Amino acid sequence: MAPDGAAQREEAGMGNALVVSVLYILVAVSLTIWLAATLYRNGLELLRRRDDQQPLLAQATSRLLVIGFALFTLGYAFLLLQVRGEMTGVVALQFLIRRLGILLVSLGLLHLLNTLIFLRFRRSRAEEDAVERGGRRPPGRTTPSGDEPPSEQARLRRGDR
Amino acid sequence: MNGAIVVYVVYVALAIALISWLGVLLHRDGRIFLDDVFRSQTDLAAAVSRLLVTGFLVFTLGYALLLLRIDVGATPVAALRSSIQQFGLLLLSLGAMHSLNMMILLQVRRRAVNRRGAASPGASRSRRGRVASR
Repeated sequence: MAPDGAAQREEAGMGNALVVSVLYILVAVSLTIWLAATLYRNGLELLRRRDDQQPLLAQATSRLLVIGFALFTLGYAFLLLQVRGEMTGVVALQFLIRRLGILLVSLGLLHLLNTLIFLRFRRSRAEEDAVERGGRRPPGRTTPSGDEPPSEQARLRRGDR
Repeated sequence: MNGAIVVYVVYVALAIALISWLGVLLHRDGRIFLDDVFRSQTDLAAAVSRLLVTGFLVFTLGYALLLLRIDVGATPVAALRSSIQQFGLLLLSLGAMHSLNMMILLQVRRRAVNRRGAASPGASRSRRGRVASR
């Protein structure tokens, strides 16, 4: 493979740029989907209450937060990829690795930030609960008023006090 | 050139192995701390731990990729030398990050214990006894 004409060289460069773009977009999209799924599943666990009377609220909150995250992430990923034409194989590889590195680092930080946001939401819900209860119910004798049977954690928690 | 490529591939493989091992370790042992923080709500602790470990893995892998400098013109020896240096840098920063993680976990647990102690001293004491006897 030794292109001699300028046009041919440019074509090879274009090919490389295309390959880099496709690989990058594949990684970015699958990473976003994976992170969003992880965030949704585990975030739901955080937002759920023990005796939840509005089970859909946690789901909706989690989904809305995660969709915002996914949109932002994908947009950021596409903005980050500023592919140039005329890249030889090695330069293309270096370019790809560098862009993936930047993407992974910033998505990792964003993910940790999201975890903090979920924890914050959880704490504010817990405070709301405390205000609603107003200390009338003794904490050791909460009865689950939802239609769900008392969960493992609820039992553990009650036994704890 | 082929030798250099082999060296870089080995670097990436080693970095991935190291990072996944650290992630497993962090998940397994961090969960015990978080279990205590969330008062034995195991599902919750597992969820938080999974979220934190995911963030850690993604961030660290990205960092390892950013450290990687590929120089195809290099002889295998030069590539080996630079790879070893990069690996050393990676190990140093992973070590620093790991200690930072440990400190955060300890801090979080201490804060939770303090808060519990302020809320109900009896409960806190009994829990601490249980943890110690575990």
